[in-house]
Amino acid sequence: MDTVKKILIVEDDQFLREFYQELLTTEGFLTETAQEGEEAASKIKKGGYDLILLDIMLPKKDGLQILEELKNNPPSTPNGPIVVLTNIGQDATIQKCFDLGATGYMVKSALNPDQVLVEINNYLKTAKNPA
Amino acid sequence: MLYFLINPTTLLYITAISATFFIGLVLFTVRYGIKYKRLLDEKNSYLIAFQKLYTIMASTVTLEETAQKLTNAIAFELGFQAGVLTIIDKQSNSLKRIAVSQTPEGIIGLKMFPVPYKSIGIPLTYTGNLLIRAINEKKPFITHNMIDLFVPVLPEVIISNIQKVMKIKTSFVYPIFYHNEVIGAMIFSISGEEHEIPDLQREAIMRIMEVVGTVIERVKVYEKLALTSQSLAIANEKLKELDKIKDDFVSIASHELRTPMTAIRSYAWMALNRSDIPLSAKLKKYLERTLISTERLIHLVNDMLNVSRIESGRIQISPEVFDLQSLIQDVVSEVELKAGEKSISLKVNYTNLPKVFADLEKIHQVLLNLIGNALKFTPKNGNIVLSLMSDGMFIQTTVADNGVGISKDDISKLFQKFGRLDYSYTAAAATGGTGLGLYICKKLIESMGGKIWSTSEGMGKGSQFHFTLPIASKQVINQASVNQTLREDGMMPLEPTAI
Repeated sequence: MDTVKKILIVEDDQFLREFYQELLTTEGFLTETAQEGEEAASKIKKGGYDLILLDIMLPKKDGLQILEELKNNPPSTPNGPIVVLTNIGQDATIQKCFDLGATGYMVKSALNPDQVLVEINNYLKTAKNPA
Repeated sequence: MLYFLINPTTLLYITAISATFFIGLVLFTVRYGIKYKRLLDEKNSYLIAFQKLYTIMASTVTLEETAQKLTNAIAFELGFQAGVLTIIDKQSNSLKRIAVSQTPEGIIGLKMFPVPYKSIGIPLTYTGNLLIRAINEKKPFITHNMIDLFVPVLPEVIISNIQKVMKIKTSFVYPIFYHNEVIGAMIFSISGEEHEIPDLQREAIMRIMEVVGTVIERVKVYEKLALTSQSLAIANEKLKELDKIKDDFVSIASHELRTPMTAIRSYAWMALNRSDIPLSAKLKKYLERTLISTERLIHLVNDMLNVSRIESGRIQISPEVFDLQSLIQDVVSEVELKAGEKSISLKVNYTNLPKVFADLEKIHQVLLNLIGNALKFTPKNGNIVLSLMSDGMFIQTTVADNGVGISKDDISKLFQKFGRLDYSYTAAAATGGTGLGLYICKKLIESMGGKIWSTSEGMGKGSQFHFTLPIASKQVINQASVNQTLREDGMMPLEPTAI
């Protein structure tokens, strides 16, 4: 049960990417990162992440496109929950993410790091199909 | 002028109907004189013609179309071989031919001109042309030489040939009047001599010219109005477009701003809470203030985005029927922790009240804002009381505190944009206020048909914030569904705000 959870951080902003990586590594998670959409999509398709933090506005391929691809073409090795982590706080975008199969949604600027951790731990706990 | 108070279409219709009636009457008189022997037959065809004129005029919208139909009607009804309508064009300072009757002779003649007929413009200064003379002297003329009507633009050899083919012997030239001013001239041609048209009829034609003038001028006014409203519509579209561009810009700019602000917030928090060295009191204060200021900046960006959307009328209001008291209970449990930190007691006075019809999410934000303000401006161990009452149409919610209060002068400034009050600046700065919260609340409450205001006995005597929302009656709900269908596209949700 107590295996180390593997989290993929998809974030194009270097400071934020490194921040989330440090935050989660310190917390004892195993982390991988992707800084643009295509890199993210190919990593997610390989599967095996316990949780994915997915930004929406990304170079090359945006988060909504990635979610759509995954919905139409689920990876053979499944992933844990996909939590959208973005600064677009609009209802319509949030709804679209859920429609496309996202499990959760966090507005980056609205949360302090401790709140981010609480959210992530909750998503991991309630994950129905852990990888 | 009264005309401008009337819708242009109505104006045109009224003009057309009255003009038609008048022309019909005059035409009837003229015909009666010329062909009195066939009066009974004619009466019937007159009625048909009247009917025809009525439908033609009422449906005419452009000057060219009107001119064509007027010319046709007069030429056919009065039995001229050809009729021509010319109008003074002030821009080119010339007389322009704008219509030729579609009588057989008119059609034949039209085909023979070496240049497009409607391009023929006679300079208004050229008094050798009979049309210009008729205009200048405000009286009719008669000619047997068609060239008199075309000098100096076309050569005589061409025109006399056209006249021969058309079998035209006599042409009458009449100035067109509008309020004693001449605005153009008409030509009526016949194959016989001028005495075939008796004086009585010529007199009648002069009167027809006044009606033609009136119709032409009114159509010009209508065209101008149509053009103006068209350019207004275009300008309006452009403004809407600009508004959307502005909103898109603000949206994107806000998103871009939030990314570095999130980084500042996150790293400041980490420095404060996850430092591997003990922080000095000074460093701790600096970091705390960095964090508070960044949070405030983030709220400010969200609120500015909301204000931008509210002001461009693009905030989506989705009203529903809900129980305000249970929403208040939810909001209270959300802020209980914060109230506990300051040992402020938070009470709700319940009564049994009907449901309201409003946008639940937006009211949630308004309540958070008002209670958040009360928490900010109430000292430790203070009290905040929420109460509700109904007047049968509205439910009034009051958030009352025993905090710093508001001076009389300041009460009016509260709901303005950045309407921050001098005394409370320090408190707002320390607590992350944006100066936009109450303005947004006011706009939101008003968009749901309610009112918001505040009262205070003065400084140090606490304050009360009140807002009303319509009770969910059938009438209110029906009205909302009507408004809903009138709503335009491009609506945006509200950005989240925090207390």
